[in-house]
Amino acid sequence: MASSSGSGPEWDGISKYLRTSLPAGTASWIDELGTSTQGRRLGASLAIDIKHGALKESLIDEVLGSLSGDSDATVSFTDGLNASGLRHQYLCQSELSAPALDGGRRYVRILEIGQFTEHYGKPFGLSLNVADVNRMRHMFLTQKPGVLSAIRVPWRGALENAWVTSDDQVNELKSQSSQGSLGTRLNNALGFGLDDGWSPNLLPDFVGVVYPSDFDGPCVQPTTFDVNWDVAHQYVSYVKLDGWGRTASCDGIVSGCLERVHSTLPDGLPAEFHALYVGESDPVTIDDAQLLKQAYERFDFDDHAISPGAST
Amino acid sequence: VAYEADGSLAGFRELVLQVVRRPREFPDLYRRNELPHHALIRLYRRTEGGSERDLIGQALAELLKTTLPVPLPGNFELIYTLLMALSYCIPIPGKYVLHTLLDSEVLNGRHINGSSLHALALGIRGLYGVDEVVRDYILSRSMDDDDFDVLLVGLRLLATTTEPELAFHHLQRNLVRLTPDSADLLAADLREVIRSAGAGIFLKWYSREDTSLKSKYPDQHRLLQAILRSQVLSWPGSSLEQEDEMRLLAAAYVHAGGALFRSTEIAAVARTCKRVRIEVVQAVLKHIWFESEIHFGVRAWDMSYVHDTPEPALVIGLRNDFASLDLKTDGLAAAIIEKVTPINRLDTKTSMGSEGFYGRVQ
Repeated sequence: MASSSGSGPEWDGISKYLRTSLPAGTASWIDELGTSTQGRRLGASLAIDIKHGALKESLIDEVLGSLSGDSDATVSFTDGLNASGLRHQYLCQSELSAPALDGGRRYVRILEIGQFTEHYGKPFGLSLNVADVNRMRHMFLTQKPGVLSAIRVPWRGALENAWVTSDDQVNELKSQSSQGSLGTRLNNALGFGLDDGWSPNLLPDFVGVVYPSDFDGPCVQPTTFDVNWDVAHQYVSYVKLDGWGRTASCDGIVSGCLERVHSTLPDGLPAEFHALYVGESDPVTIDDAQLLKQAYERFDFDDHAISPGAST
Repeated sequence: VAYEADGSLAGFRELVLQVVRRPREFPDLYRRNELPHHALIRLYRRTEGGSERDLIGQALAELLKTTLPVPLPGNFELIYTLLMALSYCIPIPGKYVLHTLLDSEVLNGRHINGSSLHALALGIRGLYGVDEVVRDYILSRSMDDDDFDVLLVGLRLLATTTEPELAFHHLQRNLVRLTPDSADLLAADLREVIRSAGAGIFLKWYSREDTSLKSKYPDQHRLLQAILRSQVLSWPGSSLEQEDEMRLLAAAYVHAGGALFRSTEIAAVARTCKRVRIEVVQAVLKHIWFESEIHFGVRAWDMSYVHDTPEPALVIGLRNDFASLDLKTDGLAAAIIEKVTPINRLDTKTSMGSEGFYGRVQ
């Protein structure tokens, strides 16, 4: 069994918290979490969700009861999430209340244009060739953009959920012009951490899909269950505050942006959605140590008096 | 290449297979939640040296050639992965493999990750250039195909040939397949097709076939006309003067009968005669004239000469608005309007404001 020693006092505190919060049978899995940076971030995120009552205890028990026992704790946890073949049951499950947007604010989903082309160019037989990506630009991002509702492919990410931020958040980043292009700022602040993409310079190139202000699909604060942990990503759970999660920026310096998730829109997008070109980004690298630091800080963000499971 | 490959085609073939089957074992190439072809494209991008890149491309083509398109577990997924990677590299041998795949029709009706493999393969084949083989393939096979995606790819590819009008003939032959569900998709595609083929080519085809399409396929014609008006050739409104002449004429043609034009709009259409053949402009104006009578029971415009202004002008008016054409600079346009207008114009000798003018012509 791997030891959590050497992971630092922050991890020891989280490990201890998890041991007192989770079923006894998970002790060895918690130990395994401590052996990798991603594992410790998973542990911290889960601890934050438990501490703030974001996940039902029964759901957590289900997933942890299905751990595969893989020597990599993040793989084992992801196997647990996917064990039933009903992954969607664990997505968008936050118990924290998420007030609807008000004052004309809108949700925005940011995508790299290659991803945009790959998913939404399907009905046109488009590939990832540069010419095809450019065709998508012409079709949907020029002055007279195409109707996104034409594309009847489900609106979702790699999992059956979609991640969104708010337009005022994007506008705020837009105003910080001293920190590189808007694309670079989004790449960093939203935690994409992309170093390549489908701009003409083979750099990340972002598109925003703006939701109508009256979009009433339930959007919730993301939880540990909204990502697969067996692949690299920059997710860190957030405390109970305003019904929004906060992205973990790649450099750990820029503060997190608002984020929520919603379930797949199976019939694609209604006509009121529209796409906007955001722009190219410089390559962004991920500082794993800073990510983990953000996770630890979030765990310690609130008072320490909340007892394990008190709000679940 | 920073990955294990012995520099031979066989070595790269093995490397490609490893990346496809176990992408997570290549952390430098694989990103979260990406499908394996992204790792292959990244492998190609990061490979320096043309010969090694060629070998990756050849390996992809060879694997595609040897992957049996039969419903064995994972086969079509592998074909999808290889096609997507091939689309980025466009290796020369891939062209012939795609020929074989398309000719065999084994991909027809197959979908992976929501993509029609047939449409994808045809689109990628088109990236090699739309030669006679591709053109004939599209024109001969697509009538049997149920995939609307394949029709859209066909339109796109034909529009890039030296005979772009074939795209519209292809649309005409397949118009019966247009449904309310697929109309918006066609609109998005057609906007680009017209951009590639040229609005003039579209106008020539549409003005010739409009009546025939309407009688043969009334429902589909209605759908086509609706998307042409609302999405493909939307009326430029306030930016009339900035619009490309041919596009303006094409838009005017499809909007005729849908709404009454303002006099300024008629004048803008007539002024395109400065750069477009007179016969084309006349044909569009005549169409507007007759469609106005048919659909609205009114004349599309009335005319009057104003002789006592500093520059004698032809004033055209309708429905509480007017526009004047300077007989010196817009003389040709004035002549066209005069020629296509089968009415007696009103001559007036007096200078007048707009109210007086309207009082007379109405």
